Amino acid sequence: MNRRVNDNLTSVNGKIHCAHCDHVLAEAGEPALHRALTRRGDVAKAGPQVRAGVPAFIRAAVEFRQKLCPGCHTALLTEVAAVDDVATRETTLTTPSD
Amino acid sequence: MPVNPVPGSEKFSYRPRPAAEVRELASPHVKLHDVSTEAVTRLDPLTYEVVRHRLEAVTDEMGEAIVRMSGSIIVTDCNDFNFAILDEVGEAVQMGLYNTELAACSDMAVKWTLENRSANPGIRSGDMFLCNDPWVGGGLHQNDVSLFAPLFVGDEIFAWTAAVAHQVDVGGVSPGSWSVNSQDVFWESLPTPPLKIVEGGHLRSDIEDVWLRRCRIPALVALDLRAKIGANHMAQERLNELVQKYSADTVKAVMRRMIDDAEQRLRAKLSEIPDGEWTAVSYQDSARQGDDGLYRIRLRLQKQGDQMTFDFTGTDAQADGLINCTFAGIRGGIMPVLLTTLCGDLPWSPGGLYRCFDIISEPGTVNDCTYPAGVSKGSVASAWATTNAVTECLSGMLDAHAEYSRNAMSVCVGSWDLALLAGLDQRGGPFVNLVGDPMAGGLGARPDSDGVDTGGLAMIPMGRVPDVEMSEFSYPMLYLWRREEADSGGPGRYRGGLGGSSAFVVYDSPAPEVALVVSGGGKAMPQSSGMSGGYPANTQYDVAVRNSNIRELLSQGTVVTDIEQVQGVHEPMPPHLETKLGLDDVYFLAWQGGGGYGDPLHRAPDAVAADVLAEKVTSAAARDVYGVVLHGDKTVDHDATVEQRRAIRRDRAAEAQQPEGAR
Ligand SMILES: [Zn+2]
Repeated sequence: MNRRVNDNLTSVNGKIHCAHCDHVLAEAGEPALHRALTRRGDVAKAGPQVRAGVPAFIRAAVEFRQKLCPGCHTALLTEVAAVDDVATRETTLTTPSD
Repeated sequence: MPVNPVPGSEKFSYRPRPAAEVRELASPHVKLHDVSTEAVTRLDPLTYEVVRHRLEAVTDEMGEAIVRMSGSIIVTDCNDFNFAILDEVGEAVQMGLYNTELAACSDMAVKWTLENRSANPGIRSGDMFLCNDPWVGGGLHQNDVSLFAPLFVGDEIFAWTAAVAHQVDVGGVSPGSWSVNSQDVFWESLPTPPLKIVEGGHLRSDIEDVWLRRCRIPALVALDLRAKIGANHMAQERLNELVQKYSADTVKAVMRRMIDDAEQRLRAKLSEIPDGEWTAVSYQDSARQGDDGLYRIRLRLQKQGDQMTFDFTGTDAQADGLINCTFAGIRGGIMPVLLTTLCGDLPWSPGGLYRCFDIISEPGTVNDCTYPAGVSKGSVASAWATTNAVTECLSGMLDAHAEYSRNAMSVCVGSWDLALLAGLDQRGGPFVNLVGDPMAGGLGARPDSDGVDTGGLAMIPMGRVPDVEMSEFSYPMLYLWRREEADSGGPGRYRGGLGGSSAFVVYDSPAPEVALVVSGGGKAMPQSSGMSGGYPANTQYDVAVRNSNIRELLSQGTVVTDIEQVQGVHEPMPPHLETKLGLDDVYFLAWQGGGGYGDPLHRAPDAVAADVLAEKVTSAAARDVYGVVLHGDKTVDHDATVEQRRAIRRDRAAEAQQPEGAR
């Protein structure tokens, strides 16, 4: 049975699928975006509202980061994070879907 | 900053104990009212609902009482205060709709007082205790001053009432008590553990003098103290009337059932939601003036059955600045989100809600700091950042449930943009003004709707933005504008609510300059994160334009609508700074909106066009972020939009990399 995870993700028998193109983004037990593509780049990619770095008030390097569906390139997670922080935001459902 | 446990300070590092333990510790010294389980079971539904709603109404009435008595705009216009009614052992039964972050820890202060003041100096009828010690509870930083009072029925403590409000100044190095150079608590206002300031119905003048002597504006703080005394008196009169009408046992039975009902109904909701884990990180840039560090709060929310665990393991060590918060800040960071996202239809009885989750935190970290770490910004720094992480995780959890997902929300206005002015006002007297405009923060987008533009703060359901006219009347300020800022809401399928901006000049002060304290994070990276692919909202941006031509522009009749119109030296403000504003300077502050929800490429093109027409989104953002191309008349060019969205997807794909181990 299908179960909603969020706007973009559906859980089907424990596997996480893209709700838009059905691409499998995680096998059972993996974090929901385990098999998503990662796009990284300058914070300006977050849009004109983000001025980070002008001027630079902090020492740490920060970057724009996006997790994308390999099938349809829908943005599944969009963030500005410290370059050194590998794991920032994850979802793992442990209730098996019915 | 290393953790240096200070011998003698352990007494104040409080973790609230269960009700039974508090009862056991206090009962040799004070009599505590109690009711049997049978009395709670016997309660008829009609009486329960009537008394329950009466208790809720009492906290509303306390709000009206304090607003009428206080003379401070942060209280009278911004509603930055709150109330709680607690049972005899300090379990919170009812919380007001005002600043839920503040009242979330009233239980800690009352329990600490029962444990530490019952024997000496004793707790008697007519007593009231003042507290602004964040390690004890009752507030999250020294400006949150709580005043709480036992309500006696006969010779037994029947309940407690508590009022807490932000006081504009309680001393310390910097005006307004936001000590931006703070390296530890000794740079800040003195935290005051529970102090019997009202004894047997009389305000003790010796204690009041000690309290007020530290303040830059003692007359105003004295007035606010009386406002809180009045609010407690009002609540106690109403509770006495209830007890006389329904009996002490009945009212107490209602209190017990409210707490149990809140717990059971929250547990029932949690049981319906899939089990899982959600993680988030929230960032704060800079811990004090001159600091260029980045501080992280990490959260792993685990939901199993009807119980949650908020695990903050991995959060950064406490900083040698003013951004730390105590354990009260973690609780104050969690409760507002829980109340507004999961408990909209439940009794707001924190005593029951707290039973549904555990907190794991590490003493010595930015949101569970140990004495003597600096905490003067704790409420809007690490407690607020805790709220951001909790919002992400709880909303992620709700999003997995078909019905409850509509209560999920991206992060709302990621931090407070503090501008605090102090000096001589137009009447020649001293003033301190915490500019309350960022109360109009943007709310986060939701899975089915845009965030509310300038909708307020997540933690203050009854918050208000102060009237510009009142601010100009009260303080030596002249506003150039206060408005919503285009693009400040996080892009998404549903857009985050817009934040706003204000610009003002010092006007009619007899002094040549006023002091300005700036303290607001979110300048080096956005703090209102999006959800499900939604983008973060804006970074905060504050600028002082020094030695400007503003007076010349105004005398020419020029209406200034853009800070770039003003000539002078544009000085971007760092996250923390204590400086001055001269008579020819202009100050501009732009605070944060709410995070977006879903991929902006999925937003209906007509909705984007409507946003551009309403100046909520610029044409550039519409094209580059939403992939929507508009004709000259701001209607959608559908063919060009399809092609632009295709091009953005191609760019994304070109820049994307396969994950390690999943190829
Ligand atoms: Zn897809």
